[in-house]
Amino acid sequence: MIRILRFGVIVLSAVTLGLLAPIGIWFLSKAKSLAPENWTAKFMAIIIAVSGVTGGAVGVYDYMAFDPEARSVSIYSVGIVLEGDVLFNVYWDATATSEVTVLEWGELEPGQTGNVTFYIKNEGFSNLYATMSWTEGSWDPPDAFQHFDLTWDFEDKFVKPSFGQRVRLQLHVHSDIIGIEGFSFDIVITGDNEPF
Amino acid sequence: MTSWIWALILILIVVIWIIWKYVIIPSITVATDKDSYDRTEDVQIGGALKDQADAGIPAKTVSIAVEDPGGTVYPVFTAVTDANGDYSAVWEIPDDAAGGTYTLTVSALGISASKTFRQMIQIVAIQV
Repeated sequence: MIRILRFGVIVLSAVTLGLLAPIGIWFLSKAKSLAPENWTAKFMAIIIAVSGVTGGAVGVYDYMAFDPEARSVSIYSVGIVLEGDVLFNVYWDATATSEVTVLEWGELEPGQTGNVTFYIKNEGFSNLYATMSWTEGSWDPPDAFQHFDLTWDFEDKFVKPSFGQRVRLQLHVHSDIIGIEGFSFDIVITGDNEPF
Repeated sequence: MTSWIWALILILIVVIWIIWKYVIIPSITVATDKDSYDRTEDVQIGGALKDQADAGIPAKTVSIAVEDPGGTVYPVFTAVTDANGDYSAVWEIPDDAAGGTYTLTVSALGISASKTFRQMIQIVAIQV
């Protein structure tokens, strides 16, 4: 919401400055052609269009750049699917206010390991045990999964009702990967009230 | 032509002023009464939720989470800001709490702040 309002303010400010600029120049230079009484509709349209487009461009840049919880821009994304009988969810923050929907890994070079940290919150009434896997069918390109290893540090743990647990996912890219420039897949986290 | 140009500029200025006046850019702080505690001690938590003009934002719910050294997050609890934007809460360290550095995180209106404190393991007796 704040970003949209910032965009609006920037565009309106640019248009206002665009209209005030000729007046300022006229006031300083006394050039009659810039006097407001000589402004034509075409002249005004040009000023509004130029300042509006300029403000819009700045606004778009600001819209993308302004993020209090900014993370690196990613070209790779991973969907996250929650399954199981226990009610639980995954969040970016310990206070469980920002839900995880997509994991972003940034650009991973061959041989590199990417890390993502989030929180699993048990929103049910029994202990939560969980396993993590990926669905081979969700990979794009389809055979890319052979070149990656996905691990997490939640093994042998459980989460009590209403508690949360910080979890770190690691995605390792094999150093022999060839011909894959982008990938996407879904991670499945399955919850149960008994150890797997 | 002149009059409606001035009218347009005036309207734009008024619109910008209204947007700035009613857009709240909040900030939140968090503090504890001490940096180090023993088990079963109370952690006194306090802070303030303010806007860009440093004015308190009242009647907002602040979510508070305590994360132990192993990443376990205790049940999230809340506090409500008073007329000055201040909030306070108390968290009692459980008697089975692990020793080490704890992270206290507060969030409200989409922003958050964190602070760490230490929980020292209290040795009651050593039998030789």
